[in-house]
Amino acid sequence: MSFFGRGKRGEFERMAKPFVKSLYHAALRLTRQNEWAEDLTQDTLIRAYERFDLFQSGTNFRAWMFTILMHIYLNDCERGKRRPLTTSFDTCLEGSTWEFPAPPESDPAELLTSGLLDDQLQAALDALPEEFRLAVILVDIEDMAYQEAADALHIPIGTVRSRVSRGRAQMRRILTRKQQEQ
Amino acid sequence: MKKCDEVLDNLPAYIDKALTPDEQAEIEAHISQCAGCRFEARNQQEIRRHLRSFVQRQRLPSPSSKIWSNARRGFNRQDGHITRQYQMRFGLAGACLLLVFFRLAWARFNAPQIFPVQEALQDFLNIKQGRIMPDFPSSDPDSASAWLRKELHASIPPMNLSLSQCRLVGAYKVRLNGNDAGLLLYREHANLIGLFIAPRMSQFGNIPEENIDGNPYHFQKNASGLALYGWGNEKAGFGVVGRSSEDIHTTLMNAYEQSSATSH
Repeated sequence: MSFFGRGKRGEFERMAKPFVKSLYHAALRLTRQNEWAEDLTQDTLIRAYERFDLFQSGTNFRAWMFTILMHIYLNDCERGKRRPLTTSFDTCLEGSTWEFPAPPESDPAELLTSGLLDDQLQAALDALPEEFRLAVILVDIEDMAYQEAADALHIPIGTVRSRVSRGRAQMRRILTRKQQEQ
Repeated sequence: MKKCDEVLDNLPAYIDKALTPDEQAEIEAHISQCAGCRFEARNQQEIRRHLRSFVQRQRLPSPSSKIWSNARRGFNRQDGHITRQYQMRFGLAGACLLLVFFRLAWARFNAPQIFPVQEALQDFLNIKQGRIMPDFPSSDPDSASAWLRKELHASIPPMNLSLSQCRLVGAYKVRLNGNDAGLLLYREHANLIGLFIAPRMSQFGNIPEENIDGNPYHFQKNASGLALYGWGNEKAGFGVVGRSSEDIHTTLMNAYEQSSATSH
């Protein structure tokens, strides 16, 4: 270990190690590939260590790490280095404009949740367009604040809200259709 | 009243109560009257609840220990990089300091020193009165010049030491102010005239500058009547010493012109 980075290294490891699991799980949800998720987690830790001087003490370290993770993930995708596996769900509805289905006669929530399986939920999430999927993962699954998700995705907070809303709506439509098919 | 699109885009924040109280109230008012938005809000709440409980139930694999160990190897590489950066900076700073140190030492070593006028006058008087034999007795100025350069180990300019109306008696190696210097002793009729050549001692301190035919020189006379005309160039200081200024005026001019001509 370097003499010059001794203090910084110790502090970083103490802060980062507890988040390895959640970073890896987030990476797994994003990429749906174990090898990529491992690389992504590892790269995130190394990048965070390199930039640890830029982390403002007292702010949310987890959100900062997730921002770095998202940045690397989006870069990998943009450069065509890798692409997340897409789960084909033929009930996926394209388009991002709002359209109201006719309110069902029975309670929609009940219809939606009756017999809802985790596999179906996962498949509906995976079937979302990438920008909606990322927003839903950060806000609903990783439980990040809207502003933190906006920082991680480098988009305005209003756009995050809109994407989460449209993502949830699409999931609901996918799940409803699937349930009706059954 | 907000439009449906606007309300729907803000539903997640409304559900999480992340809006301002006014915005919350506005959306509340809208969905109480709009069945479509109410339906969507209800569904979104359910989706959110399901996703949250799904995360709790989800059994994802534990991260492999190689992630942390590989990351630590990355930290080591980064540490090494930082160390090398610091080493390079320290090295550069050290090199700069050494350079400055050597430059100062060199400048100090090569800085012109003050020609010790009183010491030269006294030296000349001692030699003259003690009738001390020259270290290099010769009447040949060229031989004396070569001998002096060898003895002084100094880069003194080549000199034409032939002075008109003077005969060279010989050359002395003397110490002026702790440094080696040369003295050429000439006889001009009944008088003795000395020409001191002092490497690097080309400054004359507070002795005011005067002029002979446009040539600057420094003049100092001591209590015993000995006078010194001094001048310097880049590499050496010269001092012509004699009994009186009148006697050595011509000698001074000759010596001055010759030293100036040979030093350029």
